[in-house]
Amino acid sequence: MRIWLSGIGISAAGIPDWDSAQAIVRGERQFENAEYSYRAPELLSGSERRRCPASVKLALDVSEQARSMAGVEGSDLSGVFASMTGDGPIVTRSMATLADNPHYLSPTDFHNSVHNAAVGYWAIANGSRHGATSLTAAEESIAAALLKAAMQLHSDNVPVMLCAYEVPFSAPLDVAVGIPVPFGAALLLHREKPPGCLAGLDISLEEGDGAPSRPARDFWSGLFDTNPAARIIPLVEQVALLQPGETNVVRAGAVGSSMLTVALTR
Amino acid sequence: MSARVRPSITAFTAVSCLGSGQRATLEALRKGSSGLRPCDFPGADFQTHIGRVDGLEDNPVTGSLARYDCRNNRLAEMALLSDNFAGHVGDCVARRGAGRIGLVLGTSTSGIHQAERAFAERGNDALPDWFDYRHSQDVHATTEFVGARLGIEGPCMTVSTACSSSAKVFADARQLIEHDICDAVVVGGVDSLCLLTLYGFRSLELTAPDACRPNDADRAGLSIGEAGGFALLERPSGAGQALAVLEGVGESSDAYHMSSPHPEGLGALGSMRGALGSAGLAPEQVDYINLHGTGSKANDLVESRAVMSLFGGATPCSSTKGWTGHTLGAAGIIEAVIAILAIRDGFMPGNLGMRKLDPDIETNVVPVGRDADVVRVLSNSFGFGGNNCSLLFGRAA
Repeated sequence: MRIWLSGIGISAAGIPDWDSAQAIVRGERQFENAEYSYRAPELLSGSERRRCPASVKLALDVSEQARSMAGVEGSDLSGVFASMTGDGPIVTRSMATLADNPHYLSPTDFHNSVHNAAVGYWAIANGSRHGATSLTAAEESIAAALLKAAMQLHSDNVPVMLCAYEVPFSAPLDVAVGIPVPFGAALLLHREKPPGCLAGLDISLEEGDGAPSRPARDFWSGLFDTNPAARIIPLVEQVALLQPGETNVVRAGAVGSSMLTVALTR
Repeated sequence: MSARVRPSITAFTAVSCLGSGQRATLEALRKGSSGLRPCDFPGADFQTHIGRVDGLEDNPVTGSLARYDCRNNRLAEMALLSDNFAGHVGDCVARRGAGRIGLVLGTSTSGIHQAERAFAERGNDALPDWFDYRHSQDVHATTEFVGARLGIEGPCMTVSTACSSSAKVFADARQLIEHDICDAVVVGGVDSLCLLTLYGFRSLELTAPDACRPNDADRAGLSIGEAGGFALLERPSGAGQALAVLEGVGESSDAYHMSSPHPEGLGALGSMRGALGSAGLAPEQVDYINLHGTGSKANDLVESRAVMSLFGGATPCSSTKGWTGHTLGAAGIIEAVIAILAIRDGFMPGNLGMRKLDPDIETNVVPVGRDADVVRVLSNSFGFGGNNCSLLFGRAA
């Protein structure tokens, strides 16, 4: 299935946006690690901006980067949001409250604890009434999200905001889950080639046991190995490195017993 | 866009507080006997009613998949065994090949009750050694367990959009078949009781003290239930005997509020219109609507307005949550199973718990179940976060 990319967003420690990611991947700039800080979502109203949890801030940050790069209306988009863990800090806090004094469970924490909180806030922020989903395939959520986005584009032809995000849990669940730092990325995808197209993505499923692609640049190997959303890094790197006329192939992850493969062209 | 594929449903089952399997579910619906009871879930210390599945405490997951043992996966296993569902999938795997069969399940809280138990035992801020996040609490854990249990090698994913989770899985299954990635897809959902949802809905003042009474003038909120259910969807060609077909799916977002429905029901309207549109059917071709009908003041009223504006006041409709409670991430599949039973067995369920219809609800709510020739059923599922889904099932040709 062929789909097209018109916008991209990314957020990691030391890499606040796509411009910086692109410059670092192309070797135009040195990667410098920095403490991660969440951006407050400008699109939400005051009370929602205050109430929304870390995972939602991250997801809205990267999806808004991708939307504004493409210059499309948010209300015209459908969402495919992927996360293995949803919002770890809220879940951890709720578990502790339920163990210690369950009658104090916060109603805001409860509605923010649902896995689809990010896509729900995203639809509110963008005024999108299109169908949208929140999915997981654990460590292989990126491959599942790419497949889902491609199928949905070819069934419904509404542009899709693919958004992947993962934030660390707090103690004591942090040890059990093992995601040390946040990472998020978003791809704005279309069925027909859009103006300002960044790349064409040819998505196929291939038989066999081959390993997925790893990052081309070493500095984010640790992130790739510990944050399931960072499995998208080899794909976004190739967007940065792609030259006109070239085809770059990325093995994006397992879908059942097959490997989801993306051939990028420009 | 080309005509949508209409997958055949060749096997299905459900386990809820009504019991295990099609027969127990249908009998309870026909007799008007609710599965709800006063809350006796350990640790839930307030007055409400729940739909609890008996026997989960005594049936751990054992053998090679024992590390997946938790309440949610025990419930999944119970559902796999009911109506010989796992056996039907086994036949399908043999016929079509494991790599051509996909798996898409819905859940809201997966095995999070395992974490609740672990936190109750925590000392010095460390969790006990027996706690295994990855195979219990993880949102995808049940799908992984079921995939391994059934030997499925096609795409496996989990949809978690709160109370519409296991309705939206039908949309994914249809796409997997339409795009020739799968010939058959196991869909379903499993959501088990846990303190997070019981106290969570209580914190939002949405739990009823007594058994829920959807569409009643004096309704006071939800009863939370647990359930698991599955359906096998197959490409029409080469399928086993079709028990029903998936005629249409509609999805929408409210884009309004995280935990309140859009006051004019725009989201509900969008998903119902989408289901009719994708089936190429007019509203009058639907014989019965299984409502989301949670029993909350807001949901039932808003849903009725959306149904009125699209269908008018003639189409019979009812909520079956007075039988099962609101089974959250499993509600979509449980009500899909009820829809298929209604078509197959010629029975239109009533609206258990309703004594006096809310005068502001103008739809044709069926108070008591009756035998009826039901050819097409629309089933609504709406979730927190405003992710809505409507499914349209029809009789197999």
